Amino acid sequence: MIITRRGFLQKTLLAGGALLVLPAIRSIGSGSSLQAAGPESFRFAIIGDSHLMGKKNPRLKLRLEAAIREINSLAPQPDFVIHLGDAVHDGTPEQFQYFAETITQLKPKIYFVPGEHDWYFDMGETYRSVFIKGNAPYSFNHKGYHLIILNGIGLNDYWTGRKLTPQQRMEIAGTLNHPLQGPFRLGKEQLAWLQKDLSGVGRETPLLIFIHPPLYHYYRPWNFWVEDAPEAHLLLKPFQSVSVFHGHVHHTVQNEIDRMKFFSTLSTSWPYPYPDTGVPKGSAKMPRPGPSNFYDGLGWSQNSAGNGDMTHQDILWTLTPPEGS
Amino acid sequence: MDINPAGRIMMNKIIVLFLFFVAVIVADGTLLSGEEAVQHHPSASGLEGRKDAQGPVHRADLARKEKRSFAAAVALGEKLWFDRTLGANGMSCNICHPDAAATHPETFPKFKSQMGAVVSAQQFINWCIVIPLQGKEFHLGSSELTALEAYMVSQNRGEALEPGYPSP
Ligand SMILES: [Fe+2]
Ligand SMILES: [Fe+2]
Repeated sequence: MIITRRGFLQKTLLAGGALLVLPAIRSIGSGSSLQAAGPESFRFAIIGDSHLMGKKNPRLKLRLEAAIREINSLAPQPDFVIHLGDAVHDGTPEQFQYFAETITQLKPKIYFVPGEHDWYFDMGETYRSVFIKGNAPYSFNHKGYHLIILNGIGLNDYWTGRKLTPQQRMEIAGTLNHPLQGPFRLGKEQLAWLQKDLSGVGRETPLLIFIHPPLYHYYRPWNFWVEDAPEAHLLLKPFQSVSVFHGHVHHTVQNEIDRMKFFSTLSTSWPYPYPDTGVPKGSAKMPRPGPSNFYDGLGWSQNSAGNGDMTHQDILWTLTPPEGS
Repeated sequence: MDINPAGRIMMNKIIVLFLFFVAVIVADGTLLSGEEAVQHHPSASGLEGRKDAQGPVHRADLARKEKRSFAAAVALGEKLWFDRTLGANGMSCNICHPDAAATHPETFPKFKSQMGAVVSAQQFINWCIVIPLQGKEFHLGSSELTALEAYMVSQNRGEALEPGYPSP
Protein backbone atom coordinates (compact mmCIF):
# COMPACT_ATOMS: atom_id res chain seq x y z
CA MET A 1 0.00 0.00 0.00
CA ILE A 2 1.59 3.25 -1.05
CA ILE A 3 -0.11 6.53 -0.41
CA THR A 4 1.72 9.35 -2.01
CA ARG A 5 1.10 13.01 -1.60
CA ARG A 6 1.92 15.38 -4.40
CA GLY A 7 3.96 12.65 -6.02
CA PHE A 8 6.98 13.24 -3.84
CA LEU A 9 7.47 9.55 -3.37
CA GLN A 10 8.45 8.17 -6.71
CA LYS A 11 8.27 4.46 -7.12
CA THR A 12 11.76 3.29 -6.40
CA LEU A 13 13.29 -0.10 -5.88
CA LEU A 14 12.31 0.24 -2.27
CA ALA A 15 8.80 1.52 -2.64
CA GLY A 16 7.42 -2.01 -2.53
CA GLY A 17 8.76 -2.26 0.99
CA ALA A 18 6.80 0.62 2.35
CA LEU A 19 4.79 -0.42 5.33
CA LEU A 20 3.34 2.93 6.11
CA VAL A 21 3.37 6.16 4.24
CA LEU A 22 1.66 8.76 6.26
CA PRO A 23 1.06 12.41 5.58
CA ALA A 24 2.90 13.95 8.46
CA ILE A 25 2.08 17.57 8.06
CA ARG A 26 -1.06 18.93 6.56
CA SER A 27 -0.71 21.49 3.81
CA ILE A 28 -0.34 24.99 5.01
CA GLY A 29 -3.28 27.03 3.81
CA SER A 30 -2.88 29.40 0.93
CA GLY A 31 -1.99 32.92 1.82
CA SER A 32 0.39 31.90 4.57
CA SER A 33 3.75 33.58 4.59
CA LEU A 34 5.30 30.17 4.07
CA GLN A 35 3.99 29.95 0.55
CA ALA A 36 5.48 33.32 -0.17
CA ALA A 37 8.78 32.06 1.21
CA GLY A 38 8.30 28.88 -0.86
CA PRO A 39 10.29 26.18 0.91
CA GLU A 40 11.80 23.77 -1.57
CA SER A 41 11.04 20.10 -1.51
CA PHE A 42 13.71 17.68 -0.33
CA ARG A 43 14.19 14.16 0.94
CA PHE A 44 16.05 12.83 3.89
CA ALA A 45 16.64 9.33 5.22
CA ILE A 46 16.68 8.22 8.84
CA ILE A 47 18.61 5.30 10.31
CA GLY A 48 19.18 4.47 13.96
CA ASP A 49 19.78 2.01 16.75
CA SER A 50 22.63 0.25 14.96
CA HIS A 51 24.07 -0.86 18.36
CA LEU A 52 27.39 -2.03 16.91
CA MET A 53 29.26 -4.20 19.41
CA GLY A 54 32.57 -4.38 17.58
CA LYS A 55 34.26 -7.31 15.90
CA LYS A 56 32.67 -9.92 18.16
CA ASN A 57 29.30 -9.26 16.49
CA PRO A 58 29.57 -8.90 12.71
CA ARG A 59 25.82 -9.57 12.36
CA LEU A 60 25.01 -6.07 13.59
CA LYS A 61 27.48 -4.51 11.17
CA LEU A 62 26.03 -6.45 8.21
CA ARG A 63 22.58 -5.05 8.97
CA LEU A 64 23.80 -1.46 9.23
CA GLU A 65 25.68 -1.92 5.96
CA ALA A 66 22.50 -3.10 4.25
CA ALA A 67 20.79 0.19 5.20
CA ILE A 68 23.83 2.15 4.01
CA ARG A 69 23.75 0.34 0.64
CA GLU A 70 20.05 1.03 0.17
CA ILE A 71 20.42 4.72 1.02
CA ASN A 72 23.47 5.05 -1.24
CA SER A 73 21.45 3.63 -4.13
CA LEU A 74 18.55 6.10 -3.78
CA ALA A 75 18.08 8.26 -6.84
CA PRO A 76 17.96 11.14 -6.35
CA GLN A 77 20.13 11.08 -3.26
CA PRO A 78 18.57 12.42 -0.06
CA ASP A 79 19.82 15.83 1.06
CA PHE A 80 21.05 14.29 4.29
CA VAL A 81 20.73 11.31 6.63
CA ILE A 82 19.92 11.43 10.33
CA HIS A 83 21.27 8.75 12.69
CA LEU A 84 18.87 8.69 15.64
CA GLY A 85 21.39 7.39 18.18
CA ASP A 86 22.47 4.11 19.82
CA ALA A 87 25.15 3.96 17.14
CA VAL A 88 27.08 1.53 19.35
CA HIS A 89 26.04 -0.66 22.27
CA ASP A 90 28.63 -0.20 25.02
CA GLY A 91 30.15 3.18 24.13
CA THR A 92 33.74 1.88 24.15
CA PRO A 93 36.52 3.36 21.98
CA GLU A 94 36.79 0.04 20.12
CA GLN A 95 33.06 0.06 19.26
CA PHE A 96 33.11 3.71 18.16
CA GLN A 97 36.12 2.99 15.93
CA TYR A 98 34.27 0.01 14.39
CA PHE A 99 31.18 2.17 13.86
CA ALA A 100 33.20 5.03 12.31
CA GLU A 101 34.77 2.60 9.82
CA THR A 102 31.30 1.34 8.86
CA ILE A 103 29.35 4.58 8.65
CA THR A 104 32.01 6.17 6.47
CA GLN A 105 30.59 4.11 3.58
CA LEU A 106 27.48 6.29 3.63
CA LYS A 107 27.51 8.86 0.81
CA PRO A 108 25.12 11.65 1.94
CA LYS A 109 25.91 14.05 4.76
CA ILE A 110 24.92 12.64 8.16
CA TYR A 111 23.74 14.26 11.40
CA PHE A 112 23.86 12.46 14.74
CA VAL A 113 21.36 12.37 17.61
CA PRO A 114 22.57 11.14 21.04
CA GLY A 115 21.30 7.77 22.29
CA GLU A 116 21.84 6.38 25.78
CA HIS A 117 24.20 3.69 24.48
CA ASP A 118 26.44 6.37 22.93
CA TRP A 119 26.62 8.34 26.13
CA TYR A 120 27.00 6.61 29.47
CA PHE A 121 30.43 5.01 29.06
CA ASP A 122 32.33 8.31 28.68
CA MET A 123 29.39 10.70 29.26
CA GLY A 124 29.15 11.50 25.57
CA GLU A 125 32.72 12.66 25.09
CA THR A 126 33.52 10.56 22.02
CA TYR A 127 30.08 10.88 20.49
CA ARG A 128 30.14 14.68 20.80
CA SER A 129 33.65 15.16 19.46
CA VAL A 130 33.77 12.51 16.71
CA PHE A 131 30.17 12.26 15.51
CA ILE A 132 28.08 15.28 16.53
CA LYS A 133 31.17 17.50 16.17
CA GLY A 134 29.72 19.82 18.77
CA ASN A 135 27.08 19.39 21.42
CA ALA A 136 23.39 18.49 21.51
CA PRO A 137 20.86 20.12 21.43
CA TYR A 138 21.53 21.97 18.19
CA SER A 139 19.43 23.33 15.35
CA PHE A 140 19.72 24.50 11.75
CA ASN A 141 17.55 25.56 8.83
CA HIS A 142 17.16 23.62 5.61
CA LYS A 143 15.09 24.77 2.62
CA GLY A 144 12.53 26.63 4.69
CA TYR A 145 12.30 24.00 7.44
CA HIS A 146 13.71 24.36 10.96
CA LEU A 147 15.45 21.21 12.25
CA ILE A 148 16.18 20.60 15.91
CA ILE A 149 18.30 17.78 17.32
CA LEU A 150 17.50 17.22 21.00
CA ASN A 151 19.39 15.32 23.67
CA GLY A 152 16.61 13.05 24.93
CA ILE A 153 18.67 10.66 27.05
CA GLY A 154 19.38 12.61 30.24
CA LEU A 155 19.19 10.41 33.37
CA ASN A 156 19.35 11.23 37.06
CA ASP A 157 22.76 10.42 38.56
CA TYR A 158 22.58 6.85 39.88
CA TRP A 159 26.33 6.23 39.53
CA THR A 160 28.27 8.74 41.66
CA GLY A 161 26.84 7.74 45.03
CA ARG A 162 27.23 4.07 44.15
CA LYS A 163 30.79 4.58 42.86
CA LEU A 164 30.03 2.71 39.65
CA THR A 165 32.62 2.12 36.96
CA PRO A 166 31.92 3.53 33.47
CA GLN A 167 31.05 -0.03 32.34
CA GLN A 168 28.57 -0.50 35.19
CA ARG A 169 27.03 2.91 34.52
CA MET A 170 26.68 2.03 30.82
CA GLU A 171 25.22 -1.42 31.46
CA ILE A 172 22.43 0.07 33.60
CA ALA A 173 21.66 2.87 31.14
CA GLY A 174 21.79 0.30 28.36
CA THR A 175 19.41 -2.23 29.92
CA LEU A 176 16.01 -0.81 29.10
CA ASN A 177 14.19 -2.62 31.92
CA HIS A 178 16.84 -1.95 34.58
CA PRO A 179 15.20 -0.82 37.85
CA LEU A 180 17.96 1.72 38.64
CA GLN A 181 17.80 3.57 35.33
CA GLY A 182 14.92 6.00 35.96
CA PRO A 183 13.11 7.97 33.24
CA PHE A 184 14.77 10.07 30.53
CA ARG A 185 14.54 13.85 30.91
CA LEU A 186 15.24 16.87 28.71
CA GLY A 187 15.93 18.95 31.81
CA LYS A 188 15.27 22.60 32.59
CA GLU A 189 18.40 23.84 30.84
CA GLN A 190 17.50 22.17 27.55
CA LEU A 191 13.88 23.31 27.76
CA ALA A 192 15.15 26.87 28.21
CA TRP A 193 17.43 26.40 25.19
CA LEU A 194 14.47 25.12 23.17
CA GLN A 195 12.34 28.08 24.13
CA LYS A 196 15.11 30.47 23.12
CA ASP A 197 15.78 28.62 19.86
CA LEU A 198 12.10 28.69 18.90
CA SER A 199 11.73 32.37 19.74
CA GLY A 200 13.59 33.20 16.54
CA VAL A 201 11.42 30.95 14.33
CA GLY A 202 8.18 32.00 12.60
CA ARG A 203 5.17 29.95 13.64
CA GLU A 204 4.44 29.06 10.02
CA THR A 205 7.91 27.51 9.63
CA PRO A 206 7.56 23.73 9.66
CA LEU A 207 9.55 22.07 12.46
CA LEU A 208 11.38 18.76 12.17
CA ILE A 209 12.47 17.49 15.59
CA PHE A 210 14.90 14.59 16.07
CA ILE A 211 15.29 12.87 19.42
CA HIS A 212 16.34 9.36 20.47
CA PRO A 213 13.44 8.21 22.73
CA PRO A 214 9.81 8.99 21.91
CA LEU A 215 9.01 12.57 22.98
CA TYR A 216 5.90 11.45 24.86
CA HIS A 217 4.85 8.93 27.48
CA TYR A 218 4.64 5.58 25.70
CA TYR A 219 5.78 2.75 28.03
CA ARG A 220 7.64 3.51 31.24
CA PRO A 221 8.80 -0.06 32.20
CA TRP A 222 11.13 -0.03 29.16
CA ASN A 223 11.83 3.71 29.25
CA PHE A 224 9.97 4.42 26.00
CA TRP A 225 9.43 7.72 27.76
CA VAL A 226 10.64 11.30 28.27
CA GLU A 227 9.43 12.48 31.66
CA ASP A 228 9.21 16.20 30.84
CA ALA A 229 7.97 15.74 27.26
CA PRO A 230 4.70 17.58 28.09
CA GLU A 231 6.75 20.73 28.79
CA ALA A 232 8.36 20.47 25.36
CA HIS A 233 4.90 20.00 23.82
CA LEU A 234 3.81 23.34 25.27
CA LEU A 235 6.70 25.04 23.48
CA LEU A 236 6.14 23.23 20.16
CA LYS A 237 2.35 23.31 20.02
CA PRO A 238 1.98 26.91 18.76
CA PHE A 239 3.77 26.00 15.50
CA GLN A 240 1.63 25.17 12.50
CA SER A 241 3.38 21.91 11.68
CA VAL A 242 5.55 19.83 13.98
CA SER A 243 6.98 16.41 13.11
CA VAL A 244 8.99 14.56 15.73
CA PHE A 245 11.20 11.63 14.69
CA HIS A 246 12.53 9.18 17.25
CA GLY A 247 14.26 5.81 17.53
CA HIS A 248 14.90 3.75 20.70
CA VAL A 249 11.75 1.61 20.46
CA HIS A 250 13.06 -0.59 17.60
CA HIS A 251 9.60 -1.00 16.07
CA THR A 252 7.13 1.10 14.09
CA VAL A 253 4.85 3.33 16.13
CA GLN A 254 3.14 6.65 15.45
CA ASN A 255 1.36 9.14 17.63
CA GLU A 256 -0.42 12.47 17.36
CA ILE A 257 -0.74 14.92 20.24
CA ASP A 258 -2.29 18.36 19.72
CA ARG A 259 -1.66 18.15 15.94
CA MET A 260 2.03 17.33 16.54
CA LYS A 261 3.03 14.09 14.79
CA PHE A 262 5.44 11.52 16.17
CA PHE A 263 7.16 8.84 14.06
CA SER A 264 9.55 6.09 15.05
CA THR A 265 12.18 4.77 12.71
CA LEU A 266 13.07 1.07 12.77
CA SER A 267 16.41 -0.12 14.09
CA THR A 268 19.03 -2.03 12.13
CA SER A 269 20.05 -4.18 15.12
CA TRP A 270 17.10 -6.11 16.60
CA PRO A 271 13.36 -5.40 16.98
CA TYR A 272 11.70 -4.82 20.36
CA PRO A 273 8.28 -6.34 21.07
CA TYR A 274 5.29 -4.03 21.47
CA PRO A 275 4.43 -3.18 25.10
CA ASP A 276 1.60 -5.24 26.56
CA THR A 277 -0.24 -1.95 27.16
CA GLY A 278 -0.53 -1.47 23.39
CA VAL A 279 0.34 1.37 21.04
CA PRO A 280 -1.03 4.92 20.78
CA LYS A 281 -4.46 5.22 19.21
CA GLY A 282 -4.35 5.06 15.43
CA SER A 283 -0.84 3.57 15.36
CA ALA A 284 -0.32 0.54 13.16
CA LYS A 285 1.69 -2.45 14.40
CA MET A 286 4.26 -4.10 12.19
CA PRO A 287 4.03 -7.88 11.72
CA ARG A 288 5.71 -10.01 14.36
CA PRO A 289 9.34 -10.51 13.32
CA GLY A 290 10.72 -14.00 12.72
CA PRO A 291 14.17 -14.29 14.26
CA SER A 292 15.33 -16.80 11.67
CA ASN A 293 15.18 -14.16 8.93
CA PHE A 294 18.34 -12.12 9.27
CA TYR A 295 16.73 -8.78 8.41
CA ASP A 296 13.24 -9.32 9.87
CA GLY A 297 11.64 -6.49 11.84
CA LEU A 298 14.46 -4.10 10.92
CA GLY A 299 14.86 -1.23 8.48
CA TRP A 300 15.08 2.54 8.15
CA SER A 301 12.88 5.36 6.86
CA GLN A 302 12.57 7.68 3.92
CA ASN A 303 11.04 11.10 4.38
CA SER A 304 10.01 13.76 1.90
CA ALA A 305 9.38 17.38 2.75
CA GLY A 306 8.15 20.26 0.65
CA ASN A 307 5.60 23.08 0.59
CA GLY A 308 4.92 22.51 4.26
CA ASP A 309 4.03 18.88 3.58
CA MET A 310 5.90 15.84 4.81
CA THR A 311 5.62 12.13 4.21
CA HIS A 312 7.23 9.45 6.32
CA GLN A 313 7.82 6.02 4.82
CA ASP A 314 8.98 3.06 6.88
CA ILE A 315 11.26 0.72 4.95
CA LEU A 316 10.52 -2.55 6.74
CA TRP A 317 12.79 -5.39 5.71
CA THR A 318 10.24 -7.99 6.77
CA LEU A 319 8.38 -7.06 3.58
CA THR A 320 11.37 -6.35 1.32
CA PRO A 321 14.59 -7.86 2.58
CA PRO A 322 17.72 -6.11 1.32
CA GLU A 323 19.31 -7.44 -1.84
CA GLY A 324 21.67 -10.34 -1.35
CA SER A 325 19.88 -11.63 1.76
CA MET B 1 25.97 -2.55 46.16
CA ASP B 2 24.54 -4.94 43.66
CA ILE B 3 24.17 -3.42 40.23
CA ASN B 4 23.22 -6.62 38.48
CA PRO B 5 19.61 -6.05 37.34
CA ALA B 6 18.84 -9.72 37.70
CA GLY B 7 20.14 -9.59 41.23
CA ARG B 8 18.04 -6.56 42.10
CA ILE B 9 14.89 -8.03 40.68
CA MET B 10 15.74 -11.32 42.32
CA MET B 11 16.05 -9.64 45.73
CA ASN B 12 12.64 -8.07 45.29
CA LYS B 13 11.21 -11.41 44.35
CA ILE B 14 12.84 -13.16 47.27
CA ILE B 15 11.27 -10.61 49.60
CA VAL B 16 7.90 -11.05 47.93
CA LEU B 17 8.23 -14.81 48.07
CA PHE B 18 9.23 -14.67 51.71
CA LEU B 19 6.17 -12.62 52.60
CA PHE B 20 4.16 -15.05 50.58
CA PHE B 21 5.47 -18.07 52.48
CA VAL B 22 4.59 -16.38 55.73
CA ALA B 23 1.09 -15.71 54.41
CA VAL B 24 0.71 -19.28 53.18
CA ILE B 25 1.97 -20.77 56.42
CA VAL B 26 -0.42 -18.65 58.41
CA ALA B 27 -3.25 -19.43 56.02
CA ASP B 28 -2.44 -23.14 56.22
CA GLY B 29 -2.66 -23.01 59.94
CA THR B 30 0.65 -24.88 60.03
CA LEU B 31 2.04 -22.34 62.46
CA LEU B 32 -0.74 -23.29 64.82
CA SER B 33 -1.10 -27.01 64.24
CA GLY B 34 2.34 -27.75 62.81
CA GLU B 35 0.70 -30.36 60.55
CA GLU B 36 -1.98 -30.95 57.97
CA ALA B 37 -1.75 -28.31 55.27
CA VAL B 38 -4.84 -28.28 53.14
CA GLN B 39 -3.55 -25.70 50.74
CA HIS B 40 -4.34 -26.32 47.10
CA HIS B 41 -1.50 -26.65 44.65
CA PRO B 42 1.36 -24.36 45.67
CA SER B 43 0.88 -20.82 44.60
CA ALA B 44 4.37 -19.36 44.26
CA SER B 45 3.81 -20.18 40.61
CA GLY B 46 0.66 -18.10 40.45
CA LEU B 47 -1.83 -20.93 40.70
CA GLU B 48 -3.57 -19.81 43.86
CA GLY B 49 -7.30 -20.13 43.73
CA ARG B 50 -7.21 -22.61 40.89
CA LYS B 51 -8.90 -25.93 41.64
CA ASP B 52 -6.40 -28.71 41.27
CA ALA B 53 -7.69 -31.81 39.48
CA GLN B 54 -5.58 -33.94 41.78
CA GLY B 55 -7.08 -32.60 44.95
CA PRO B 56 -5.44 -30.72 47.80
CA VAL B 57 -1.81 -31.12 48.82
CA HIS B 58 -1.64 -32.63 52.28
CA ARG B 59 2.06 -32.21 52.88
CA ALA B 60 3.02 -28.66 53.79
CA ASP B 61 6.73 -29.49 53.70
CA LEU B 62 6.45 -30.75 50.13
CA ALA B 63 4.47 -27.69 49.10
CA ARG B 64 7.14 -25.44 50.56
CA LYS B 65 9.90 -27.39 48.88
CA GLU B 66 8.19 -27.08 45.52
CA LYS B 67 7.81 -23.32 45.92
CA ARG B 68 11.42 -22.89 47.01
CA SER B 69 12.71 -24.99 44.15
CA PHE B 70 10.69 -23.14 41.55
CA ALA B 71 11.81 -19.78 42.95
CA ALA B 72 15.44 -20.91 42.78
CA ALA B 73 15.04 -22.01 39.17
CA VAL B 74 13.44 -18.66 38.27
CA ALA B 75 16.26 -16.79 40.02
CA LEU B 76 18.94 -18.69 38.10
CA GLY B 77 16.94 -18.22 34.90
CA GLU B 78 16.75 -14.49 35.48
CA LYS B 79 20.51 -14.28 35.97
CA LEU B 80 21.12 -16.19 32.74
CA TRP B 81 18.49 -14.12 30.90
CA PHE B 82 20.56 -10.95 31.42
CA ASP B 83 23.92 -12.67 30.90
CA ARG B 84 25.71 -11.21 27.88
CA THR B 85 28.26 -14.04 27.99
CA LEU B 86 25.66 -16.79 27.56
CA GLY B 87 26.50 -16.64 23.85
CA ALA B 88 29.62 -15.38 22.10
CA ASN B 89 28.62 -12.07 20.51
CA GLY B 90 27.57 -9.84 23.41
CA MET B 91 23.85 -10.43 23.00
CA SER B 92 21.63 -11.61 25.87
CA CYS B 93 18.09 -12.98 25.95
CA ASN B 94 16.94 -9.75 27.62
CA ILE B 95 18.23 -7.55 24.80
CA CYS B 96 15.57 -8.84 22.39
CA HIS B 97 13.05 -10.07 25.00
CA PRO B 98 12.92 -7.60 27.92
CA ASP B 99 10.87 -9.14 30.75
CA ALA B 100 10.72 -12.27 28.55
CA ALA B 101 8.23 -10.46 26.32
CA ALA B 102 7.27 -12.10 23.03
CA THR B 103 8.54 -15.52 24.12
CA HIS B 104 5.11 -17.16 24.61
CA PRO B 105 6.27 -20.23 26.54
CA GLU B 106 2.65 -21.33 26.92
CA THR B 107 2.46 -22.02 23.19
CA PHE B 108 5.16 -24.71 23.13
CA PRO B 109 5.54 -27.37 21.83
CA LYS B 110 4.87 -25.90 18.40
CA PHE B 111 6.11 -26.01 14.84
CA LYS B 112 9.08 -23.72 14.24
CA SER B 113 9.80 -23.22 10.57
CA GLN B 114 13.51 -22.56 11.09
CA MET B 115 13.82 -25.97 12.77
CA GLY B 116 11.35 -27.71 10.47
CA ALA B 117 9.71 -29.58 13.35
CA VAL B 118 7.48 -29.35 16.37
CA VAL B 119 9.86 -28.42 19.19
CA SER B 120 9.78 -27.83 22.92
CA ALA B 121 10.49 -24.49 24.59
CA GLN B 122 13.93 -25.77 25.62
CA GLN B 123 14.80 -26.78 22.09
CA PHE B 124 13.84 -23.31 20.93
CA ILE B 125 15.82 -21.57 23.68
CA ASN B 126 18.80 -23.53 22.40
CA TRP B 127 18.10 -22.24 18.90
CA CYS B 128 18.24 -18.66 20.23
CA ILE B 129 21.51 -19.36 22.04
CA VAL B 130 23.10 -20.88 18.95
CA ILE B 131 21.88 -18.46 16.23
CA PRO B 132 21.20 -14.93 17.56
CA LEU B 133 23.69 -15.34 20.45
CA GLN B 134 26.20 -17.43 18.48
CA GLY B 135 26.78 -19.61 21.54
CA LYS B 136 26.91 -23.30 22.40
CA GLU B 137 23.72 -25.22 23.09
CA PHE B 138 22.90 -26.75 26.48
CA HIS B 139 21.70 -30.30 27.05
CA LEU B 140 17.92 -30.59 27.05
CA GLY B 141 16.87 -30.86 30.69
CA SER B 142 20.02 -29.12 31.90
CA SER B 143 19.60 -26.85 34.90
CA GLU B 144 20.38 -23.85 32.65
CA LEU B 145 17.66 -24.52 30.08
CA THR B 146 15.13 -25.44 32.74
CA ALA B 147 15.95 -22.21 34.61
CA LEU B 148 15.58 -20.08 31.47
CA GLU B 149 12.28 -21.77 30.76
CA ALA B 150 11.14 -21.22 34.37
CA TYR B 151 11.97 -17.49 34.10
CA MET B 152 10.03 -17.24 30.83
CA VAL B 153 7.04 -18.96 32.40
CA SER B 154 7.14 -16.86 35.57
CA GLN B 155 7.34 -13.60 33.58
CA ASN B 156 4.49 -14.58 31.30
CA ARG B 157 2.02 -15.60 34.02
CA GLY B 158 -1.22 -13.77 33.47
CA GLU B 159 -0.29 -12.61 29.95
CA ALA B 160 -2.90 -13.21 27.29
CA LEU B 161 -2.28 -16.46 25.46
CA GLU B 162 -1.41 -15.57 21.91
CA PRO B 163 -0.18 -18.44 19.77
CA GLY B 164 2.85 -17.63 17.66
CA TYR B 165 2.49 -17.64 13.92
CA PRO B 166 5.09 -17.64 11.20
CA SER B 167 6.29 -14.28 9.92
CA PRO B 168 5.81 -13.55 6.21
FE1 LIG C 1 18.36 1.24 20.75
FE1 LIG D 1 18.00 3.62 23.09
